[in-house]
Amino acid sequence: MSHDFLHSIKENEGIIHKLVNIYAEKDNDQQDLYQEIVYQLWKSHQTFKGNSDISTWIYKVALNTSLSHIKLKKKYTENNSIQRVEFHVDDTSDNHHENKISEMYQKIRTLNELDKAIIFLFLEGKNHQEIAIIIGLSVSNIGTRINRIKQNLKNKILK
Amino acid sequence: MELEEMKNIWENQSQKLDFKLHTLSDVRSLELNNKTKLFQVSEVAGFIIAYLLAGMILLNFKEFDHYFLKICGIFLIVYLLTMPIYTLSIIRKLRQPDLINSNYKEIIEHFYFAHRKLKFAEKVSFVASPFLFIASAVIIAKIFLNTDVFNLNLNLQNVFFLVLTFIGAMILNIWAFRKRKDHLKSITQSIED
Repeated sequence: MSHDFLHSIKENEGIIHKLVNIYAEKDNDQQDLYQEIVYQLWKSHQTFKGNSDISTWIYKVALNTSLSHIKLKKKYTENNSIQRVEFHVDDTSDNHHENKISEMYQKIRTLNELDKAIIFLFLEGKNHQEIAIIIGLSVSNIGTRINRIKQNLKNKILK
Repeated sequence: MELEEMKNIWENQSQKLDFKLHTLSDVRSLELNNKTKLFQVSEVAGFIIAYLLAGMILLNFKEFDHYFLKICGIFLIVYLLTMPIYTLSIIRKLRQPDLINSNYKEIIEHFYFAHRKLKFAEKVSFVASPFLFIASAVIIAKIFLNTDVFNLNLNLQNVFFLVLTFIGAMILNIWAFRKRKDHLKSITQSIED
């Protein structure tokens, strides 16, 4: 495995961890998905031309792989309860904070496949243009969808 | 929880995660095993069995001395030769999305259209199943028992047994069909949105 590839993965490992936690819930599923994403990145690494930012390429391949993984395994996470805190950081001792993280993941997991990916990229700090490129929708469509998700989240609080 | 609050929590956790990952001494060992198999053993086994059965019917075709037996034989041969290969070709396509060159929307569409084709194949199987049941019973009786269906001793007990088996098979078929129907829901919603 080339040093360049390992370095790219190391630099962006957090992206894969967070995605894996959104799309897979059980430990072995997460491990499988992690492996699959790295495998797909390895396969496409040789053909990556550098036309886009390396993180954009990782987001694209990782999101596609995650969607494919859940569709082929038929393991949907939307209706399952959250049993562990995702991308758990050990030094967090604040229960309230942990509950907030769980609540956040629970809400993300209730979204459909498209909204789930859009909100992930939005939370990662990507702008509408970058999200549009990765997802394959127009910039205005992305804006509309993010507003709709915001509204949905507000409605859920009111309920 | 509103989106802005979510973003704050996300950023906070991301920073902690990045710090944690960067303090690990090495990149974890990456065993790049591609675990995705193109076909499951059961699917390949089903395909082989279907072709063996079709071959067996073909070999015994000259024994079918009645036009009804010939029709049943042809129906079974055509079905057993075409449906497994059609289904496997859809499954093969379904399991090979272009994860590297496609965008997320295209991947969703890939699954949607592959699922629709699979659904169509399931519908064909569902509609054909009563005819398959009758044709199979007629052909099996001829090949293994050398009995013409028209010469069977259809007493009340035999008829009752046949009808019961038929109803049981149909109930099982309907149950399986309904169960598979749910798999398309989630992806359909994304496409419609």
